[in-house]
Amino acid sequence: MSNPDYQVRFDKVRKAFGTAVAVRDLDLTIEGGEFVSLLGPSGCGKTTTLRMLAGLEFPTDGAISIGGRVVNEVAPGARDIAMVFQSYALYPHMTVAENIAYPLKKRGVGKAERATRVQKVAETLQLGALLSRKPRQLSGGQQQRVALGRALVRDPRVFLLDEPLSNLDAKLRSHMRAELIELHRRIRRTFVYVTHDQLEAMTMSDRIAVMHDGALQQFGTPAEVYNQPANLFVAGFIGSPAMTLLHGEARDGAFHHPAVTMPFGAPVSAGKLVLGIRPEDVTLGQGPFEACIRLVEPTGHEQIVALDLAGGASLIARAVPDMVLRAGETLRWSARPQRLHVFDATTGQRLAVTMTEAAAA
Amino acid sequence: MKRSILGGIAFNLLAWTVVFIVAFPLVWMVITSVKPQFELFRIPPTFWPEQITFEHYTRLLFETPFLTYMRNSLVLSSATTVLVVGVATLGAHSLVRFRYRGREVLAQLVLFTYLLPSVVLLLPLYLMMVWLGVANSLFSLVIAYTSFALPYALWLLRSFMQGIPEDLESAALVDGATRMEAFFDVILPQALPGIISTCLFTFILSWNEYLYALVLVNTDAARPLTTGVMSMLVSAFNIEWSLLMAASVMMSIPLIIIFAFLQKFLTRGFGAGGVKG
Amino acid sequence: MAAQHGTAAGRGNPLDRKDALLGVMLIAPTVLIFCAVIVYPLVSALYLSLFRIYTPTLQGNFVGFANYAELAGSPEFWRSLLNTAVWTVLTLTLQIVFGIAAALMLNQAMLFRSLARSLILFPYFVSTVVAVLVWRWLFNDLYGILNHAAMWAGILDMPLDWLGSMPNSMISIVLVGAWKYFPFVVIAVLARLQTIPEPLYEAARIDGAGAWSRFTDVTLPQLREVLVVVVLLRAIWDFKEFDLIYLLTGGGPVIATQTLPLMVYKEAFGLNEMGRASAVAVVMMLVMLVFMLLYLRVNRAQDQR
Repeated sequence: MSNPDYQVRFDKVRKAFGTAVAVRDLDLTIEGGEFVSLLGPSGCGKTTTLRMLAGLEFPTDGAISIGGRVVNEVAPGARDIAMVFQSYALYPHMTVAENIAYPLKKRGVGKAERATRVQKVAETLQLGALLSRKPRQLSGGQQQRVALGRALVRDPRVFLLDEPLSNLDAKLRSHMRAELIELHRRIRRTFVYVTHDQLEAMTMSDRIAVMHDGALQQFGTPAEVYNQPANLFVAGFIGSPAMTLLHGEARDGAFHHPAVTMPFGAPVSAGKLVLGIRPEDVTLGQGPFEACIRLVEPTGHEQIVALDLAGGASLIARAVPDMVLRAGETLRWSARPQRLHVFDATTGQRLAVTMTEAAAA
Repeated sequence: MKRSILGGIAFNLLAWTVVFIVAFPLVWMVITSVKPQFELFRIPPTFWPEQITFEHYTRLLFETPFLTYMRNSLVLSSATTVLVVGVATLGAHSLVRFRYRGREVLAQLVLFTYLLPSVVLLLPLYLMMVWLGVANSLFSLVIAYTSFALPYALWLLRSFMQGIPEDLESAALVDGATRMEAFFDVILPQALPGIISTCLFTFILSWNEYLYALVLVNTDAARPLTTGVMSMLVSAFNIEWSLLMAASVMMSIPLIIIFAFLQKFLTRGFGAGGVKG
Repeated sequence: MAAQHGTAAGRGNPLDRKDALLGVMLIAPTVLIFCAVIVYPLVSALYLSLFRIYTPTLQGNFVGFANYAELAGSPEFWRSLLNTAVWTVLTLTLQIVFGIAAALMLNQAMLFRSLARSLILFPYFVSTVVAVLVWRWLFNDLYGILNHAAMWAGILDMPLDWLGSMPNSMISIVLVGAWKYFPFVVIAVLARLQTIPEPLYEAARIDGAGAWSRFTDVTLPQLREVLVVVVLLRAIWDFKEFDLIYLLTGGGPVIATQTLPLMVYKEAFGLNEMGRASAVAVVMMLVMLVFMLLYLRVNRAQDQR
């Protein structure tokens, strides 16, 4: 069960820099021991949120609590947290051992005990051989592990990670991702992880907090965020290639769009709607709708197809490698009604609307 | 860039000729200082000395107040440097890493005072020293020198400190350090090369100052080298060129030493390695 | 719970306030010294300029703007202002031209490049006193090597009075000023040159640009930002230069090379008119204010970039 000592809570937290609002009305509860990603494009407020949690920025309004205690007026060093920075922020003039020992030194831990604890952490992260080196003598991956070690050695309630993997090359990144997941599983502390990479968020997190323009868009498990995106932003941000969004209207019990007409399962009030279709939910070759192939991109294990629809819209679909597809060809397509997403065109919010099979045009 | 061998030689010749022309006055200074007196005034003058003598140097050191002047300059420049760099390091840290009302205004003000002409401050400072009762002392010079050394050091140190990544201090704070602990544990070690450069540049600035020394001090006991050498050796009819050249060489020795030290820092970024006119 | 902590957040947050307080304390010594040795004298200078003060006794009386009125009608003042402008423009131009040329030269691969660079930079770090002594020795009419070399080369028949007659004196101080201060330009320009990517030149060469066009079309635009700063700074510093001109010519012959800084000194300690000297200083600063404010604006714009 989740440990309340490690719970993180944001209560109506707001941060403004002068007139610019970086974070607005954030209400978020992260259960103890959870791995939560703050996901969003740059400028969405995720890093500011993390820094407020760390105590490096102060909220303009609202309360931040760790383990049930409000920490707004608590110095960063007294919050029982640890942080791994994107740049690692290792102290260049200290050795690896001194870097890892620094937080203990600041807490008044004795020399002998410091040495033992540093040794233990070094073994866990395979840094034993590097203890007397300086950071500039280490590779990117090694530096990152030292940063992790410095965080680990204090046994904090919450780990804060600010895009720690973005400076690593692809191969190292996937390796470190696995190591971080493993670490989290082992020590079961709360991890708050900031990233702009949805793949990282999807593979590592227990839950994802999607942010945009300073506001929380959706907070849910990877599956929830993928299969039931709460609004247009989340729908378009999560999933690669992106979801196709068709702007149309509800009329006479069906969704109307120049290329797609699909009846509703239950009555829907008239209005402008947006229909969302994920590429993998499109079946090419047969169905009630028509499209013209614009571009085919074979990736080896599949083909990504971009198609032109009537009315100027674009459809993205996935197809198996052996299907014969040529640019310029017209073909029919269909989408499973149960897998469709419907959003209100004005508010962007997800609507609980059911669709049924469309008749052949 | 591809260059033919001939082009390369021609370029090197041209380049080194230019260097020689620029360096010539100083080379001539050294040569003159070791020429024996009689050769000095030969017409036409010779380039290479026929004999090398250090008689001018010995005369300078033992028969003139030169050593007193040098001691004064050393004390004066060191005291100014220590005071100014100490205060400026804290100030620069404050300007770069803290947020408080009026910070930006202060930063602009520092820059502004860096550009102020000394003649404007000169007369009031003169009056101030008389009023304080410290006229004609090295102490008065230290006070006066801070008026240009402090903005300068602050300007230099601020650039150096801006180059230290903010994350380092943040990491220290999260690790449990107070602001001042973070300053001593993390920022200061990183700023050390910048602080040393600033010390050296400030030292040179004080060492070379003339106008304030001219106006504020007129007893030999407290004169630094700049005014001392000028007063001692230049009179209307009898200019002792030999001693002057020897004095010039001696005056420049600390600069040569410091200069060799600073070589690295000079072209590494105009912003950080600023120099004053 | 949020309402309880509305006041604890933001600027009301005691942590934030403590932080700001520490920041203020760290800059306090600087501010105190500033006020004592810069702000107070600056204000005093303005105040002093409204008096007539006899320097040796420091006794004086209030005369309001009489000093300024006298200056406005004083041919010596206008001549000094003109001299200052002429000196600044001429020496600044030479400093920039020589500075860029030397920087371009040092940017190429050459034998013993770091030694060459040190030698070129040296005039800047040497004391003005030393520079002046050396040049006066060079200019000396009897023993100076410049005269002898020129006569030997056939350029001159007679030794030239470099410092005692016009237009020689102005030309001489301009030249010595250029020699002393051009390394400042070299440092700044060279630092920038070394960051210009080589592919820019290669592209230009492929497009058929010769050496001069490459300089005007690739190099100069890249140098623009640095040059603006350098020109402003050097203009300000050349304008207020005292040591060099005072020690080379003393302002002579008569007042032919007397610049405003020299006039301040002369008024205060030669003519014992401290009040009027202060007025000259204030006027000088007002003239320079334009450039100083311009520099501040340019600096802020570049900082934000």
